[in-house]
Amino acid sequence: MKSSAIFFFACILLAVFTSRSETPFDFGRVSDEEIDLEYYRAKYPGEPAVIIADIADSKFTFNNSSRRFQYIFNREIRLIILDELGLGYGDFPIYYYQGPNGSEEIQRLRGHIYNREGNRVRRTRINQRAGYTNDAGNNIKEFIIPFPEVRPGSIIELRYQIASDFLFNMRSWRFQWEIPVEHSEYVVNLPSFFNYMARFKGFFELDVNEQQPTIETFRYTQQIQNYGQKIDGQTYNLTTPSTRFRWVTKDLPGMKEEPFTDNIYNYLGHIYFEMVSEEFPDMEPKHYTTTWQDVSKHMMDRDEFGKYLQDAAMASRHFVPPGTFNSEIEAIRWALNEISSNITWDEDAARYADKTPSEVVNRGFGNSAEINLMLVALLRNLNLQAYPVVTSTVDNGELFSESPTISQWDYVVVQVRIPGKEPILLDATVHHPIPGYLPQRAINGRGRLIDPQLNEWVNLESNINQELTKKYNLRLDEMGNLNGELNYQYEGFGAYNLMQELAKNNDEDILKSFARKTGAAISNFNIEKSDTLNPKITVNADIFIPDYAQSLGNELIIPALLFETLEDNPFTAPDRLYPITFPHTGTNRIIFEIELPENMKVSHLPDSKKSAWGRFSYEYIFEKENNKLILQATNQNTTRIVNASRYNSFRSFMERMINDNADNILLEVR
Amino acid sequence: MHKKLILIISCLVFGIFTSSGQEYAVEKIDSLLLENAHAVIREYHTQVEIRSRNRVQKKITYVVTVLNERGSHFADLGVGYDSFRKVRNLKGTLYDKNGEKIRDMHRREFLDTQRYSDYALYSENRIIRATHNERTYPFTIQYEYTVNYSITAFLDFPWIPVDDMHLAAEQASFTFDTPDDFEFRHKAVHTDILPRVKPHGRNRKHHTWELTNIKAIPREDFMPSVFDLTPHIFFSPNAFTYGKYQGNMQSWKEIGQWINLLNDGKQDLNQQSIQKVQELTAGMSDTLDIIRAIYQYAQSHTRYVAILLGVGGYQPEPASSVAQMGYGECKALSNYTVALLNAAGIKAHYTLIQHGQQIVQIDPDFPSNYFNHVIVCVPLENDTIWLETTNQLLPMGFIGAGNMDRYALVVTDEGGVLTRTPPVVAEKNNVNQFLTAALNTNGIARISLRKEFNGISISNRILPSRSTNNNQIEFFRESAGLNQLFIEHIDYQLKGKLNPSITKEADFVLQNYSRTAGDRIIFRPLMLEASLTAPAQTQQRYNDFRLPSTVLYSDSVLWQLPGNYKPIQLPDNTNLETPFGIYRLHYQTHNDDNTLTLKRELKINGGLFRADAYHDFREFLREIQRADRNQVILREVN
Repeated sequence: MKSSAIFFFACILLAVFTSRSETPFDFGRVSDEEIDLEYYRAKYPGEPAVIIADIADSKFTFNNSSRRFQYIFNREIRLIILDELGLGYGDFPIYYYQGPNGSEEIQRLRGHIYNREGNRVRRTRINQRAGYTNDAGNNIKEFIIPFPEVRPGSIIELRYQIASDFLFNMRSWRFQWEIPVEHSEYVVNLPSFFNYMARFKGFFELDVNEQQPTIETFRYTQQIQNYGQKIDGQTYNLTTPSTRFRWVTKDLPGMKEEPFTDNIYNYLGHIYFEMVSEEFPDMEPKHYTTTWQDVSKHMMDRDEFGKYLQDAAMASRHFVPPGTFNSEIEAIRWALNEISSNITWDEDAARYADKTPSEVVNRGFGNSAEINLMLVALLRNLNLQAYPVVTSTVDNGELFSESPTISQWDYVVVQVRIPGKEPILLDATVHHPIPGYLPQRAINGRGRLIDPQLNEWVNLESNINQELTKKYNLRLDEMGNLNGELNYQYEGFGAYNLMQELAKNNDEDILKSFARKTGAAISNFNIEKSDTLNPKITVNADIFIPDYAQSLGNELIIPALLFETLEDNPFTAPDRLYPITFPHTGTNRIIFEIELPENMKVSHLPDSKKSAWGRFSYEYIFEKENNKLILQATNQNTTRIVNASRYNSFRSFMERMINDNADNILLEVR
Repeated sequence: MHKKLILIISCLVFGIFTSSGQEYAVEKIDSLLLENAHAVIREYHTQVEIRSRNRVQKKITYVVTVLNERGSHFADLGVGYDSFRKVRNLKGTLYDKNGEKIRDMHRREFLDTQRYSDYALYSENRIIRATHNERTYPFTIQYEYTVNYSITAFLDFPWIPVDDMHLAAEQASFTFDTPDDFEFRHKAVHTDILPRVKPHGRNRKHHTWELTNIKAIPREDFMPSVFDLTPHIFFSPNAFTYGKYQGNMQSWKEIGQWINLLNDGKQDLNQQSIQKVQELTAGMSDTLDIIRAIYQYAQSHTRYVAILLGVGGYQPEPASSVAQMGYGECKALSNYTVALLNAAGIKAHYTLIQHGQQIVQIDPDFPSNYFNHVIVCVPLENDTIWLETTNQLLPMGFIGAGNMDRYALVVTDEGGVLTRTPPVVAEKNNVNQFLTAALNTNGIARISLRKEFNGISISNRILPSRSTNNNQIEFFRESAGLNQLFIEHIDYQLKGKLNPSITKEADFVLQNYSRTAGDRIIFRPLMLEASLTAPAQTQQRYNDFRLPSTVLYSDSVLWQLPGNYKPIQLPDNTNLETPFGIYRLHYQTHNDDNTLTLKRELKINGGLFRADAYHDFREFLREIQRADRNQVILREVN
């Protein structure tokens, strides 16, 4: 067929200009020396598997049958499995897009597994028909091939090609994994028609970072209408300057996720692309995301965003206010509650709506865009200045850069402005929304306000703290029994987050882990919740803990902070390349007031201690007042982030914090 | 005049059509059924009609009122189907709290997807899921559907209308419509109800069971399985059909014969595999050595991958396929291992078993298909060797607590033989630790320990015993729960041929292990990897409780105390003997070398205990917890 001949031709031309460099492996052949399990185990102790080489390239072609440009992505990967924990790498996934407007195709799939058998290396081919497909969400599919005969010492290799019509998001490339990668390489041949924004992310150095000008030629055949039929007309050669990029990394260590990490993918080395514009000769250039203005326009032009917002003005009239409001904030609270209680979030983080506003109202559920855009519309109906703000959730990762983008957003929240006051952020996807508070998933850097007139960044971080104060008013007797009351007060994000959790659980569950740990009998449980603008939750209960104090002869020992003693340092890794991220700033206070019997005296009370590190601090106060012990622990952080460069110092600080709280109080019974 | 009449009539008519809704009004539910319930089944009617050997139809009507968000999942529906089952006429309707109809469910709300659990790679099974999105509680949802089967093996049974916690039921019924010549057995558990039997049509009869007012069960710690708690009926057909296979479940022997039928021809090793077997076992005379060599070969060349194909997942993939692909699930791997052993001249048998937490108690007098797993049984003259083929790390003969102490159906050439797998004997399942430590006045403790795991207690340590040293250090660091830990040496070794044990040796240093209090030193002499926590105190235990298999722990600890420091007073010794187990902790000081020794013994008895014993059980655990955490105070004496 004619088109295939042209394609073949184009391929030859391209091949001349884009010859591949020396590959570190010869696909289809593994020598006896290469399949050396002991060597790899010694070089990478403790690793379940190692990627020997992962090499890919992307190039553009013109597909005459579909009359569109496509890009072709080729990849070859080889890895070796080092122990039983690595056997899972024998089920290798290939990701591709399959959506309402088309899908990518996997082609030219080949793979082998090599196993040592005595002195020989046996090669087995994969069976493509053994592969199967999973849904990975967001229109991404996962095609998995289980390799046969996988065992420690096996080398697997895979080669495939993906032809894609979706030029907007040229495939990002991941250099770094949770296991070591010896050689990773990505080559991109970019004709001048297409302008992409590319960004690197992670902690690594490129071994090769090349950019070479080249020339590419595309053939396309014009189509002419001829008596109702389309026939081939002239064939044109389109020759254009092009750039060949080549990036290589060597010996990247595996990076595993440690505690208090927002999203490990933010830190694994990779490169990401987004199309900025298309410029064909003799045609108007088409801008996608060169400016934020473009982004705004593009989103407002879409049915799933701009039009949805428009139609929502009508649909939200379904929600009728009870009368007039005394203040803007009252109106905002009403609107927020109205949407939250009538439309349930279906757990889908989305920047675009899937349904129409009236469907959302009728069916009573929606994704994050559908809910919060509806809230914007409702607020506007009440004559309030409300705007949608697109964000990237924590799971979706942080933004690559400040450059204008659309595809990096996966969530929508709302900003409302009251004249003379600070703007307020809203999210109606939670059970108990409060103006100014966003759920944890949405607090991730900055979002972007989308509006034809206004064009600005919106800071999603809040200066609202997470506050918790636990008070224990107890009496200790000679047998070591503790009797008394507890009072917990949650404020700020402490109250907001707890309120959402309680919507799914029993209120009494708050004290469940306390009861388990101490063996306390709990009675008269009482909880008060107020979700006013300054939310607060107060918990009261009577507690009885028999035999809490250990008696040794006529002495009693109790830990200085009793059952609130901190015991574990979560930071056990010897080093860390990426920052520590705590969920909120705030203060935790614990206060014990323990009444002692008349005939008991304190024979040892630890010294009060305090320490600070950057914007973290703690203080332990141990005091005695007549026959009462007053024990206090306060710890505070006024920042969420600890830079990786200060990890070891911070880790020592945490060790000190745990050490300083681990003392004992000795009491003597006369 | 006419208009008025029409109005009245239409109101009446309207009234007739809507009144049926009110029966689902939430206020009609008896308050007793609301206790501990997140949802209440209003009606759950199942009708099974056996039309012929190859045609069975099941009709279900399921109406549930969801009381709050925690019961939301009870209103989700999953109906599985495959080449032997087809689903028809699936409908859903939503009602509000007054029993008024809100709407019918849309086609789009029924999602048809491939069904497989986390462990299965691929399955021919598919499932239709309905996920409602109602958020206004309470609400009621009604589902109706029909399943057409081309088998009569009844793998969906038993009939258990309330199969989860926090779910109550107003009425549930099961009707079996069978031809007179269709024989089956039934057994009621946790209920005395008997079926109503009556003739129906020509040469057919109806068996109907009805249950009403089943109360909800709250979820508590140490829960037994739901089959231990709620009423259910077991069914077992005599003659049945499954695809082109015919079988009979009347006896264990015949069930085994059916399995033989399914497995016929599947032990087809090629010449290469047979030769391999011969190479491996050349020159071996000891039967145990031969079995071990073959078992380890199979383990190292295969891995567990669940692929549920063929006869609804009842037939194994042929041995030749496992040999080639290197993976399979329990049926295929076990069948493959049997084939290899047979090729070596050792008689081995494919064995069905119910693996795991003992969900359903097998009744030897009620033969049926209770099984969810396959292992291998090798009967020898003086012993029986059992092999678990899906785990590459297990030492030979060790099948784990999930396979022990229960009935298994050994499939011999003549048919099935119901046998018991080895019991879990406390004395053989023990963990012994010998720890010597030295404490100095700066709070630094140097520890040297040796810990031996025997019997089922090796399960949690098999992985580190097969890992690199780096991983062993990681494993220890994470499992020990010790602060400021500096590991000098760690080693996990797997020893023993038939009754394997794992020995762990570790040398490490802890900083700030003891604290000073004025002129005294305080420290905790027991270092335990897993601290026992007592369950939270509840007002009153509702359910009986089940404790896991018995393991015996014994610890010998020797502390070299610093300089002239001696304990002022030792904590009291503890001696507890209860139906739930025993616990002893004894302290002793030795003046001549200034050492402190501790001996600790703990045994928790596995088994099912009555709800009213729970309070005492809690007390037992709390006393252990307290004693384990005791500290010792030292003072300098001159």
